[in-house]
Amino acid sequence: MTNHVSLEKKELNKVFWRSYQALGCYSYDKQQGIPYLRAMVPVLEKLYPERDQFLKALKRHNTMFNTTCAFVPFCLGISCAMEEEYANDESGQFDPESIGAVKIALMGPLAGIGDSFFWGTFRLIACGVGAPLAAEGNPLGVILYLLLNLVPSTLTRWYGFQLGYKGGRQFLARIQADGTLAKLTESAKVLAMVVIGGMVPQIVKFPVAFTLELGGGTFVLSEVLDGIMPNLLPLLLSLFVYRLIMKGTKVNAIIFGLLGLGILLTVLGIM
Amino acid sequence: MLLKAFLVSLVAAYGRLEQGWMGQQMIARPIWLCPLVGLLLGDLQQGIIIGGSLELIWAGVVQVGATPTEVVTGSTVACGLAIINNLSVAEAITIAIPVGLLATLIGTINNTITIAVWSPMTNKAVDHGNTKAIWWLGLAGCATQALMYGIAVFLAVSAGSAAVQAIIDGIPQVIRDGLSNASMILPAVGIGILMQFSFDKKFVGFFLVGFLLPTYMGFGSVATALTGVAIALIYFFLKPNEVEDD
Repeated sequence: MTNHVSLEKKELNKVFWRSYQALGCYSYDKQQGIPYLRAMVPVLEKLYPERDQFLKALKRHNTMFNTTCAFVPFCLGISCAMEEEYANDESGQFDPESIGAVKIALMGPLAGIGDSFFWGTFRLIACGVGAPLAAEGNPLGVILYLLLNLVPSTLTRWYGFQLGYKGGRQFLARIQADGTLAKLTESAKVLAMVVIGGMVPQIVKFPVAFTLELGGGTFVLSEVLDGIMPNLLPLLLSLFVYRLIMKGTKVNAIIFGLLGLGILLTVLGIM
Repeated sequence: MLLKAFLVSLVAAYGRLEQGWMGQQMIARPIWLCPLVGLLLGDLQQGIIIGGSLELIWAGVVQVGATPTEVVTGSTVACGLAIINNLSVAEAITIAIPVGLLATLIGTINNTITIAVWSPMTNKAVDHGNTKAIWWLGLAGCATQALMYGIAVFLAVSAGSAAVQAIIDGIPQVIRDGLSNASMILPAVGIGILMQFSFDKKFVGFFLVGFLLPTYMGFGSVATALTGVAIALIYFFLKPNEVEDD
């Protein structure tokens, strides 16, 4: 390997577009491993014209891999940069095993951050903003939901890939070491908590129909409850469900339980 | 009827492909798939309403690994049947839940195929440096999955339609009212699951602020989320960095 080979936009773009198929062949043994290998092929073909080296490179990436989809381009960018470094390494100092080691080292923390941002924050905000509107039949709810998911995910993919290729490892190590990453994750949780709290009164409704004739007046249970605090029952019910989930009750059991509760309370005339 | 069932199955297959081939951008969800079903079946408005309602209940159900509910199938089948048979939103939700549960089986079958067939074939392709095979193997798992889910949804909608109508007609009014009331408290499940991701005792105050803004100030969902952004920014900039020592 004496000739200098450098990666160009053409191969890198191919890798980027193939990153979209990260779940194209999800298996228990390799998870996103097969699609990751598939995405690396254009770059490996360019870097290793010699068949022997090429086969070794393919083998290197035929391993287990799994992280949040939006961060796959970032990891691919790093892998591309490292493969390029290795292919042009004349000193023999570069250990190719480090390429796989970095992949494995990154996927866990990135999945942690990614799941809390993409599953736990952006999707949640999109749902909190969009679903109540859509449930009322407003198409704006659907559009907002799509934008709030697609915009952050597309930006993370595109800039993540660029950043990964141009020294992403160092950047990640720096924000992890100085505490910025942990703070960012916590701030996302703060935002998620406000949005979830706000969803309670907007999406959980507990219609109380119970009334009682008492001598001169009528006792209306819903008015008494609203007098204590509006949306009291939705709040208590949500916290109760959360407690059940934390205690390990199966979600489907809770769903059927609430269906039963709704029917029972309706038959009794309370709802 | 068969044409309608086919159209619904297309949406279900698209939902699978979105996750597998289009980057899983969190949009293979009731709130996007049900309007698509509605559009194809000629009742976009009802599709949007059912999608929004199902999204509220399944807000917390996440499509990774072993899932308790298969959201794509549950929402497309329920929305399709509801529009074809003129069902209420509450009735659609009642159909969606068991369908979503049953459909998780297909995922298990597909993952078994992947580990038994596609994964060993990939190893062989790598040994021979066969990049063409790697190209299509990287897409294969999702292709079989989309196909299987598509067929299952087609069968469920085409066969289910008559059965659903008979069952719904046979339910007494008081039970139907009960289901309708139950559909109003069910979103509490979505909230409970969501809290798992982010809930931390020290953050309980933020949860309460979020709850109180719509309750007493009449904030809508957008206003609450924007206030949340402001609070998160305050938290981020005022909290000192905790530097790891190592």
